Amino acid sequence: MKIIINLDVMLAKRKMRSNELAESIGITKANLSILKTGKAKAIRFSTLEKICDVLDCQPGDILQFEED
Amino acid sequence: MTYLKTLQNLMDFYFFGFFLSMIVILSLYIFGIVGSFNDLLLGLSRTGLEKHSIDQQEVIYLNVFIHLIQFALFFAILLFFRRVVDGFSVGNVFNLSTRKNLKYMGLCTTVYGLLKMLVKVCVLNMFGEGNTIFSLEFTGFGSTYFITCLGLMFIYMSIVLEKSAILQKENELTI
Repeated sequence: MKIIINLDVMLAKRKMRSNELAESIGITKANLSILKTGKAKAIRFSTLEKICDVLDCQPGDILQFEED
Repeated sequence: MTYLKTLQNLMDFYFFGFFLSMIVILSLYIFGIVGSFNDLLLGLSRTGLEKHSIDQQEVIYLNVFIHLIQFALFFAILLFFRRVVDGFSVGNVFNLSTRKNLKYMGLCTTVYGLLKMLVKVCVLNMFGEGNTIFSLEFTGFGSTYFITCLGLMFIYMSIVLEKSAILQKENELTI
């Protein structure tokens, strides 16, 4: 089972670029890239909160569970 | 960190001092074996065997052999320890080379302790001298028991650092 990060979809809907989001939530572009590509092992609630606040969405809009 | 630098300098000083003394002792061994200077060889490599009535030449060679192995092991311990300290001083605490050097240091220390224990307990016990030593070593008051446990502790520390490296990697991938 896998958790998919649909950040690209939300960024496209909000017409926002990755580096703008990274700057708004206070993480580096490299870390945001790790998150987008699914290489992250975990995400802090504080980071998730900031992402949802900036993109005006719910955690479920960004995180998706997919069975193998 | 200043104290790490001080430790590194002390380590370098002791290491090179030991290296020089090792060259001197090896030279004396070669000189003693080539020239058959038995008194010199016995003087350098006392293990306790020489006090008992067994063939003098066999004792000399056995003593020299045991002493050289112990010397080589101790040199390896110092070499690996120096590498561990060097790794720590540049901040490489969890990387593979530091963990490997710590593990090898532990293995050499354990073997060194076991070898000393083998000579003390088994060999000297053959001559009726070992009973007190036997009980001392296995109740934990013997120095060889301590050295063996120290070696096992270094091996355990390398396992702890390995697990820490995994946790560090996971932490770095926590956004």
